Amino acid sequence: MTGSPDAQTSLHYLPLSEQAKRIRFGELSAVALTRAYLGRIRAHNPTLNSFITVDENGAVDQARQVDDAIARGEEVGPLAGILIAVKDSIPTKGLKTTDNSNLLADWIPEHDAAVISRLRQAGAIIIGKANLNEFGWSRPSEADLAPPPWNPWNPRHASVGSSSGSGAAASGGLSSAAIGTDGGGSIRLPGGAHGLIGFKPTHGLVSRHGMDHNSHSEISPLTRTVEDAAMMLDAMAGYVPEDDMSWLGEPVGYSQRLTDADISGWRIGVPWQFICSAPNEPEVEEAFERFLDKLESLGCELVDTPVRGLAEARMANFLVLNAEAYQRHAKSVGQNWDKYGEITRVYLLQGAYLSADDLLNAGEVGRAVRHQLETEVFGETGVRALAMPTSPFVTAERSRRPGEHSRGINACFTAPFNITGHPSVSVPAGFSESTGLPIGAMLTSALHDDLGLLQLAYAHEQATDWHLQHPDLEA
Amino acid sequence: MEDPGSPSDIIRRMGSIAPLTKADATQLHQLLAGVRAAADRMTELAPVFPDEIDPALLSLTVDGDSNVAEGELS
Repeated sequence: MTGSPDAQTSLHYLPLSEQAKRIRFGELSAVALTRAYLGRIRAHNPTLNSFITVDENGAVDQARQVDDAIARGEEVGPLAGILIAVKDSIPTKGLKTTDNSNLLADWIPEHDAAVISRLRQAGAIIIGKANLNEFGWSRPSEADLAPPPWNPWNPRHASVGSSSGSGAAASGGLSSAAIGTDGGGSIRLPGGAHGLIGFKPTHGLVSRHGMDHNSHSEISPLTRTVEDAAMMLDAMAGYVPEDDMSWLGEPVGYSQRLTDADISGWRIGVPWQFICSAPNEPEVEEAFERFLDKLESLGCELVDTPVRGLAEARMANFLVLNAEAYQRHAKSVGQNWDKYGEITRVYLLQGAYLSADDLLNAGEVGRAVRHQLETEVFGETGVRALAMPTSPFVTAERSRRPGEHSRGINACFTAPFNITGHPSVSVPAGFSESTGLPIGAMLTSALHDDLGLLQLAYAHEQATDWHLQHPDLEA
Repeated sequence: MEDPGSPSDIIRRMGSIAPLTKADATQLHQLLAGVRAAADRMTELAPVFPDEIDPALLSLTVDGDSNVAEGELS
C-alpha cells in the first residue's frame, strides 16, 4: 500500500529538514503547517488512535509566534515550526501526560522533561501526546485509557509498540516527526514496522531527566529520513547535570556531518548464527538479504561475526526492566489495582520475585557483553557496525504470540543493545507483500559512534527509495 | 529468584501487595516461568570471586543455547 503521487509530495510528508528550511526562509508559514497536521489528525486519528491528547490551540499559538519572529527578522531555532508527537510517557508542562493509564488520566505535569525543554529551545512545537502501551509495558488492550493505535500502512494491523502512537503519527503524516522511548526496542521495532528511522542513541546521550527512572531506556526520535533523525538528535542530545546517567561529552553536530564519511570499505558484521536461530518470517529474511546486498553494493565488506551473549543480554535487560517497573509501581498497584489495565498490572508484578542478586547478576552480564562488543567486535575485528533484522516478525499480532512475547523473542535483536548501551538504528528495508507493511533492518555501532551510525544509515538511504514511499490514507 | 510455586502460592504470597484473582495468578505464573529462567541463567553465569564472567559460557543463539562446540563456528 504505497502512496499515490500526491502522497509522495504532500506537505505533511515532506522531511522535517525541508519543512524547517521553508519556514526559516519564509516560504512556508508555521501556522499553515500546523493547521495541515491538525486537519490530518482530525481526519485520521479517529481510526488510527495515534494521539491521546492533541494541543490544537497551543500548537497554533506557538506556530504564530514562530511566524511572527521570522517576520521580525529574528533568529529562530533549527526546528522552528516543526510539529512533534511526543510519547505520552514523557512529561510535558501544562499538557496532559497519561502514560495511557487510567491512573494518570488527568495528570498535567508542572515541568517539561529535559528533552522537551531542549526541543522547545530548538523551536519545535509539541502538537500532541502519542499513544503507547500502558506505561510502555505489557500488551495493549481495548480496555486501556486510549484504545491501541493502528498501522497507517495497513490499518487492519495494530501498530507495533510500545511507541506505537509515535510510529503511527510520523508514518501517517500526522506530525513532522515523533519521539518515544526505547527500553528493549520500543523505538526501533515501531521504526521497522512503520517504515521509519528509529534511532536509539548511545546510553546517556539524550537525558531522561524529568521522567521516570529507567536504566536502559533511551528517549529517541522516530523520523521519515535519516537527516531528520540527525536534526532531532542535534536538538535532543546534551549533558544535563542533574541526571547521573547523562553523558558529559559534547554533541557533534550530526546533521551537518552526514556526508563527511565514505562508507566504502567499512566492515559490517553479520552475526549469522544468532540471526538464523531466530524464528524469522520469510519476508523478513528476504528483506534482510536485500539490505545486505545494498550495503555490499555501496562498498561495505560483510563479515560473518559471531557475537556471544546476545540472548543473555536480552534476558538481563528484561530482568532490569521488570525490577524497575515493579519498584516504581509496588505501592501504587495494590492501592489502585482497578485503575491499572488487567494485563499491565500482572506484568508489573513480575519483578516482585526478583532479588538484589538477580538484578546485580543481570548488570554483570550486561557489562560482560558490552565489553565483548567494544573490545572484540568493534575493536579487534574492526567491525564498524553490526547488521541484523529489526524484528523476526512483520506484524504486531505475530510479535505478540503468547509464550514468545513474554520471553521477549519479538525483541531478540533489539533488546541486547539496551543493556549494553550501544547506539542502534532501524532503517526501512522493504515491504511485506502479504500485508503491505514495512520491514526494517537494524544497524548497531560502537558506543558513542552515533555519528558513524547515522552516516552509514544515510548512505544506505540515499541508495534506496523506501523512505520516499508513504501510506496513502485517502485511498 | 525464589520459586513462585503454584498460582495458589502466588495468590497467598502476593495477597499483601495486590488482590490477585486466580486468572491473574495463572497469568503471572506463566510470566514468572520466563523471568525465573532468565534469572537462573544469570546465576549460572555469575563467576566465583574474584573471577569474571567467562565469555565462552555465553550463548550464540536467540534461545541462549550454548551447546555449540567452538569447532562448529565459522
